[in-house]
Amino acid sequence: MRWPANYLAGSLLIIIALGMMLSLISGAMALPAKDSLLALVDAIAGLETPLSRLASHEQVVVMELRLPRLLLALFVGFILAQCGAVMQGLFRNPLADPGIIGVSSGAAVGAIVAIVLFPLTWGAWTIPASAFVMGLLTTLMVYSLAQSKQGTSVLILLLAGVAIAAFAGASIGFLSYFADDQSLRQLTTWQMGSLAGANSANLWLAFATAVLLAFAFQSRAGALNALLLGEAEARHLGISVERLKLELIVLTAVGVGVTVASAGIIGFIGLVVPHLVRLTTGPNHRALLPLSGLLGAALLMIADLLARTVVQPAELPVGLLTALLGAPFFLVLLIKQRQQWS
Amino acid sequence: MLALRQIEFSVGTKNILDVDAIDLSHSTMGALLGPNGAGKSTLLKAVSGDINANGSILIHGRALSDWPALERAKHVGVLPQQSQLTFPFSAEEVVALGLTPLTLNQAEAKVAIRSVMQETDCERFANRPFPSLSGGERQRVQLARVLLQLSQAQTTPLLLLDEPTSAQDLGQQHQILALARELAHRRGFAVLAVLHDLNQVLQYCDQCFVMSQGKRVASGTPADVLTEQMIEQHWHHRVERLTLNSGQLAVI
Repeated sequence: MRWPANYLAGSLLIIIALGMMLSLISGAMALPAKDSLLALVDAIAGLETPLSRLASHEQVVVMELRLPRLLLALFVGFILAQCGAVMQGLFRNPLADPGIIGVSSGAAVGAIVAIVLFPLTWGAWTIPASAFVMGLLTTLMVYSLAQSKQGTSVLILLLAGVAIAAFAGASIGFLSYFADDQSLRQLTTWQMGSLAGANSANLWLAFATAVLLAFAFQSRAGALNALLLGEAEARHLGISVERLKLELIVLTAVGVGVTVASAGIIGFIGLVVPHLVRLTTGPNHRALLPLSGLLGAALLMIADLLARTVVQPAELPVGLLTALLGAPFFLVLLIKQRQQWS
Repeated sequence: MLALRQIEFSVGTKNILDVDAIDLSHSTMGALLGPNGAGKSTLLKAVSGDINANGSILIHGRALSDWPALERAKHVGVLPQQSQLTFPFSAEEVVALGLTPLTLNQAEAKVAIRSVMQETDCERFANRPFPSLSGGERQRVQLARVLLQLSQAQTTPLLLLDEPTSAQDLGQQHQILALARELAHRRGFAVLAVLHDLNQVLQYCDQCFVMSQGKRVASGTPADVLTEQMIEQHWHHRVERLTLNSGQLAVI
């Protein structure tokens, strides 16, 4: 039985609002909940006599640590889940995730090369920029490998993605061999994903990317639906399938590249979220894409809230948590739907 | 409305198609026949634009490659041989994909969907998941989808059927052929179907084109073309042609 898409959208918006409040008031530093929320109101409304009774260093914790971090979680979760839904639709494969076109592996190698070999050569942007560029280059390489006279071979695309991921894994292992202790630590955080690096630069970048993807993907939702019938069928319905593939792959590479550059590798959001949405509201991309974005945003925000509170004052890498929760969950999903897929 | 001239297609050095001329007019149910490997499906792919063959493919006097993609989609429909769907759309959602090239508002779309589903007798299972349907039901859903896609054609559409009877039981085979013939005779469609069963061709088709080794070797009405010699020559099987009590021709 399917839910109407509006119900799910409404519930998710409420969950996101509640989660935002909870994220603002929780953390390693114990602050009065009411004042933490009021600090946000003060900042937004620009009140001269503040409602909040937080000291200025406490306001910094709320406004410059917790708020950017929760917003980055929302945007990254949104992007990953939408890219996952698009990749599953494009490849007509329920096991596709946003990293399938090699972008995450490439970005990880880029980041790690930067961390180990030339940290800070170009300032704080060195690592994210290197991750982004390598991610995009890897995807373009995988894509061009899959090109032939007959168009883009999905099978080769997938297999090349697998090969590149293996190669990237080996390169990362090789590089970590030569890394000093500090790089090694940074490298681990990167591989397991963390939202602790939220700052205004990567926040705006992630926000702009999320908005761009939301519009670009939505305008192609109908085409993605038609593509579920098969590539030839979509072509017969008047869709330029080759152009659509290229556009979606580049958009996804940009999206995932931005998330990896700002938060490292965060797995399972892109894989699991679209499945959850399909189970509740069906496979129509017009609803699936926005709802996946919202659910991805909500889940990553909650995961990050857990990551930074369960072992406080220390914190877990959020990617570890999403994998830890996502993998068993995905298995349950597989077992439940085994009949349908076999 | 469909005119093919000197269609050639080769893979490497191997010539797969070398068809001199095929013409199909509106209100006609045509069949593409021939032994396996004769190039029937490849020719159909050339007409549907799935492969780029050399030669001239004219639809309503206009070269296939000159049709803008959306206009072509409104005038040329292809019923796929097998339909798989990774994610479970309902039957009605599959039909609604036929709206892709069209510009209809929601109310118009609803009416149009209902009408094609009625025509193909799919309404009963409109809300069932497509993967749960039987082969025959799936094919009717796909046909409804194709009919919706063709519903705004400004001139008579061309409907291509790639082995529509394969993987169907006897009743389903006749149902789909009867539907296709009705579209040709009542709605003026030009229908071109790849078929294997010569008795079905004799029963349902107005025109047939026999292919062998990539070439067209005969065309005309099934009664004229499907002689005992012709069948033996190209299918390497000796048959007897009979006239049944109903007047219907049959080969066994």
